[in-house]
Amino acid sequence: MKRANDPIFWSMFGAGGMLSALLGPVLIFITGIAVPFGFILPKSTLSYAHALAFAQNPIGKLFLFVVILLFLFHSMHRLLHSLHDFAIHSPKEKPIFYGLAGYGTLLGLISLLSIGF
Amino acid sequence: MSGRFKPAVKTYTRPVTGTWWKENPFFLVYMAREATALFVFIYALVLLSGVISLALGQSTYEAWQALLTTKTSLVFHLVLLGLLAYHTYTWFKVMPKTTPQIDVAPQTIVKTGVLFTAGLSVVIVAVLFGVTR
Repeated sequence: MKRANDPIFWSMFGAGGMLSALLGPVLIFITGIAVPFGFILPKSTLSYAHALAFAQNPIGKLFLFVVILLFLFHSMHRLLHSLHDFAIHSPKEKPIFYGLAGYGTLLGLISLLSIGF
Repeated sequence: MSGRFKPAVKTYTRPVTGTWWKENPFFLVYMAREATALFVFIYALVLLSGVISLALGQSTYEAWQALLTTKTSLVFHLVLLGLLAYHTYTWFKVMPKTTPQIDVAPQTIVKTGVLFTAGLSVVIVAVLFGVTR
């Protein structure tokens, strides 16, 4: 019998759902509302130098990677299953949805590695 | 359904239309909850584009930042914030249904989850506020 790969995707769905529930709102507030408009947090919080230092720090780098990985796989897994609610079934659904999440994660990984340590 | 659980005998499968969820408000709430994934995905792309622009250098990163200071971006992020807050609420609302039987009222789990998220958010912003001044 073919080994099921579902548990990996389901656990990333769960972990990503939890992470986005806990951090999604505050991340959006910081990067999209507070910092760009200097509201509560100064605009310099995410200056090039600060952002670079954060992405070069191993913990900061790991954080960015995990957020991108889990947000992408959580959302793609959930949207994939929503297809079935719209009575859409296709043998290509898994390669497309998980492929998109994987492609985004890979782009993030390459970018983060090229930023260096 | 994956192959692992596929029944060996052909059983009757009730045909499903793509519009069943329009028939009952309860189903609409379900679809709204599932749709939050689209906005988690959109924010992942915002963050990913920031990381990519950061890797491409200062001028690209600053162009990305400039995009975020537009009025359109502000409205977009305010809407996104509301939808992700809805995701937080629904995520904890589903949680009691997925955990094993425990002696905690479902409402307590939802309240604790939402309050914990709010507290954590305040702590994160406060720490950022502290280290940047």
